[in-house]
Amino acid sequence: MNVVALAAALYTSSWYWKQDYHTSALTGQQWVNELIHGHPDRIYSELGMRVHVFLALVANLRMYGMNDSKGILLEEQAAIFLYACVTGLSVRHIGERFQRSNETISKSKLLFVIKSCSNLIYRYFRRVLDALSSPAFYNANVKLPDADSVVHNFIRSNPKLYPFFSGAIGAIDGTHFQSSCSAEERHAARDRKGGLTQNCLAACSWDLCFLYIMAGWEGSVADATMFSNARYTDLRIPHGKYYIADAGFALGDALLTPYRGVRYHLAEWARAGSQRFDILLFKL
Amino acid sequence: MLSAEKNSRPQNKEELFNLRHAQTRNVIERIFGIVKKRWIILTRPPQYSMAIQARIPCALGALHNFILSHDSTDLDNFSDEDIDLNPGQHCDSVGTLADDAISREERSRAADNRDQIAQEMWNQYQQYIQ
Repeated sequence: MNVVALAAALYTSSWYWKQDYHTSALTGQQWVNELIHGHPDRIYSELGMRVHVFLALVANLRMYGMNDSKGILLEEQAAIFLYACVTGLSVRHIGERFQRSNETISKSKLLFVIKSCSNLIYRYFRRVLDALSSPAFYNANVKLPDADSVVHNFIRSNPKLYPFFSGAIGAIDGTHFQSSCSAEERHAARDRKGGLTQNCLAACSWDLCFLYIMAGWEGSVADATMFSNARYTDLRIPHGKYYIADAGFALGDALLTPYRGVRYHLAEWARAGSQRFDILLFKL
Repeated sequence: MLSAEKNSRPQNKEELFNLRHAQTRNVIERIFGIVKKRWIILTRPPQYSMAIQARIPCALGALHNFILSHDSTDLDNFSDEDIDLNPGQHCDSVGTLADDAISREERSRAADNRDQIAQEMWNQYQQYIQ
């Protein structure tokens, strides 16, 4: 009997459809418990943070009003979101990891079960996303520098940068994140290279913390446009201070940009003299 | 050999300014590289609505800060090579449309300020290489 005929016979047999769909030894909650109590590198690999950070995050989410749900603890809800972000997998694949049901499933119910499992994953992903992007959590973690903030140690401790850049409070730039969208949205979302992206403006300090984020721009929008808009809305820059920005932005009181028409990118210096990256960054 | 070495050093105050500027600006490329490495969802199109996709960067940016504030060793998991591979436009030859939001007076003041910074840096550099 050839393979195709065998597969067809299997598919039409009632035995095949009586197999439990979710039969792995671990439910989602058990898997999360294993991560919490297991090897420290495992939770870092699967959820993107160490166990004490994960537990602090869950405690924070509780503080901001999130609760255990019927049948699913807050730890598992958080893990769904984090796993989805770390892996970038589809809701269906995430459902596979956080399986919820051990029922025996008939053929007619299978699509329904897959869909309702996906809906659950989607619902908890959204719930945690809403909490982390809410003003309470966001403002507690992402803060603009004060007018009276001192010169950052990165500049203060480097005689090549201090006192020259003593007004600098951070670096600012745009970046693209991949996105998928409907056909109507597709035209505006094409960036200059033709890909489908979401454009985002962000500023950070030299301890690699975000000071400001503005996302949700179409991929084709220019950095300078995002910055103008941010300035008019919520990007407050203290008088006498500025961000370090590249030539895509306009030189002004609030943005220090490089000289145009003069070599700039660190790669250009590297090509000229075959310097190692760390020499370019710190020793030249 | 000598000319290659000479080429790899700044030849005037504008070049020196740009080098120091690039060294100082590098941090924003590193932070984008880090969040994109930690969370693959940022580099793979997720199948959620655009409204949801637009909130993911802010949520993950806040989460990045949260992680760093609770784990001082977290950055050890990322190298200096993890920089942004899909940055915004980076071009010298962008048009002057961007400049229209800035008044001529402000532009002139900012240009003078930049020249002063560049000159002071160059003066210091001259002493250093002697």
